[in-house]
Amino acid sequence: MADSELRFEGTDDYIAADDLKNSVNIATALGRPLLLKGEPGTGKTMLAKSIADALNFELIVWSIKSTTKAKDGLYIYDTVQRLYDSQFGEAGVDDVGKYIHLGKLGEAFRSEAQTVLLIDEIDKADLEFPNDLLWELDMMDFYIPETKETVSARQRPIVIITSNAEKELPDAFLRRCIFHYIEFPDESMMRKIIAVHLKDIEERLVERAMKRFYQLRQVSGIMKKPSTSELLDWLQALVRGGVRPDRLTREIPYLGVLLKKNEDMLRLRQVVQGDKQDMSLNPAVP
Amino acid sequence: MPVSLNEWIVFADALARGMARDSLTGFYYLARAVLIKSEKHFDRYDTVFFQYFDGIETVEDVSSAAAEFLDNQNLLDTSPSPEGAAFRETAPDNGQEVDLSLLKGTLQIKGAKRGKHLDEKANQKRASSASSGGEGEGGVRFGGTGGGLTAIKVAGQRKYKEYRDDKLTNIRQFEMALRSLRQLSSKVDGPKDELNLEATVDATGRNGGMLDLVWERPRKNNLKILIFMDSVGSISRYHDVCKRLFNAAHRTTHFKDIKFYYFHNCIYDAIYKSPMVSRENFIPTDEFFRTRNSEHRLLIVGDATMHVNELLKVGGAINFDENNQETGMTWLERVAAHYPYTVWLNPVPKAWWDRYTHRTIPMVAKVFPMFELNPTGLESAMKKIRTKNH
Repeated sequence: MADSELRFEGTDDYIAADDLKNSVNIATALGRPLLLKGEPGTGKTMLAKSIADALNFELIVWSIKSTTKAKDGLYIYDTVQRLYDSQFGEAGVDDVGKYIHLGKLGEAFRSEAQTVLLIDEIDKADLEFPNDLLWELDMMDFYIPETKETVSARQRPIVIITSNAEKELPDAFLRRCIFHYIEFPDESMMRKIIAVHLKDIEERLVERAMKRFYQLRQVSGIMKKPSTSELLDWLQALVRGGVRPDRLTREIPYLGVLLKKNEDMLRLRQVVQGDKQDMSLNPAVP
Repeated sequence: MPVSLNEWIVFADALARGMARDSLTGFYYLARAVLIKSEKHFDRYDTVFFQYFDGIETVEDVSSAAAEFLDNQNLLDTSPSPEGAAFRETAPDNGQEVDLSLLKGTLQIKGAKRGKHLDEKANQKRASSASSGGEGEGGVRFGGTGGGLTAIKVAGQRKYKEYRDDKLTNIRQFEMALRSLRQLSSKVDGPKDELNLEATVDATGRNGGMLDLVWERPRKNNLKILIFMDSVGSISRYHDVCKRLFNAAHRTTHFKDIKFYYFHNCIYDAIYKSPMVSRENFIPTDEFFRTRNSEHRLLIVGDATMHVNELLKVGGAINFDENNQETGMTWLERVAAHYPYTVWLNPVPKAWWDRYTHRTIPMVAKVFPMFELNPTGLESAMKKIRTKNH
């Protein structure tokens, strides 16, 4: 099976670094979930879509929230609907199966064709959540006691899991995953990304804007560092606003697009003022 | 670097299937993706990898390098480890993969020796760069056996164990105080998504048989607690009382999450994950803030007794490697600003707080509400921590 392996090479609108492509292909060939970590805005979620596009598979997205339970991904037994139906003598109340709805994981298992299953932001859920999915991800099946039925994957889905590292994930879970850390794109990578998203943009503007962008990311104490998507939005704003590249050497227009948190704006102001103070206090400082 | 047998088998399987594609780069990524599960270990992996493949890292095609590698019989141990033997048996010897599987066998055997071999190397390196400072420290480190660093590590563990060493007297009083924080849990917000069957039957009966569903919130304590403990230096004289608090907090299972972190005298740009506050095992304070939001309740345990410079001077930290660019006070204020629910517990008897020898205590107490670390103090602290400081 591994010999006929599917190879992922990125897509037209998604630039994947070589090591990332490599990890995707390793995970696919080994049939193990790929765990993606990295700063917000490094394209973790987009990767799954890109894989699905490239391989022409259906993409099933399971977005995790703080209240999500592992069972939600398997199936939901709609007790309430059944109670209601029984009240009004609805036909088929005795058929439990009618009230079993498959969750996202169940959907991916049931699908005739191979799918890409994205478990998005797994670290949002409870600490125990990943452990509750170990069996399902290992064996690719689960049992529904209500209908005495086992749902097994017809085609092993390609599982992509993303994490923003808000919580540490359990070791047992990590052991089963292929791990990849998406680094924040460096300047040459960023250029490629910009080229894919914004065509016909003035080279000098990109250059100046990128310089400012990476400078801002360096400021210590910024809580939410501007990410790729913010840079792209900002570039678009600059183009729409008809900002000339020269203006960027003097100021940072539309700063709010890059720094979205009020605290970060304050922090920046603090740093700027601190800088001035430092200089006035110690004129000797180079 | 923690690598389990499970992961190693997967790696072996992947190699056997030719997934390294006979290239060193392929091998590098494959091993990293399968074996290393945290970006924090990437640097160590790199160090080991390059040390291992020193000299051939620029050669893309491994075949010629591998031939040379295999010719060097010194690398082959005459008595391979049992894992190595098993490893060879499982690796298929089909056709073109012969080279690679042999290489794997070698790797495995050498891997068994790695601890000793590399540790020696690391020690040499450390010794030679010790005077230059900085470099030598952060560079190479291997979990496992032998070497100076391991001794430190062991020491660290021992200290930690001592913290956990159960001592029953008075712990209960602390436990009771901590338990009072439970009252907060009744205010759990969140969706009412649990069907209360009993109440539903009741309500339906009262409703003349018409279905009346009763939902409620799952009862859960949503409190997340962070505890920062001063772990070295002057605090050690209050070791016992701190230990009791540590134990009490450890036993309380009713919080959603409770985590311990450490500092030495004052908090700067790093929060340490073990009582041995070393630069090996820390989280940058900025990152700490980002990943642990201000909903956490923060208990700081420390004597707040230090040299004034540690609080007020840039570079005044007692740990030289701390090299703080901003004053301790700035950092303390930042902590206070980020965590509105914070109290400082001080094991120093309250009567001493205004002594000249403890003159940093009132300074810290201006930033955090401070309580003496005894059962009554803890009780008042728990009352305070229910409300925001700002």
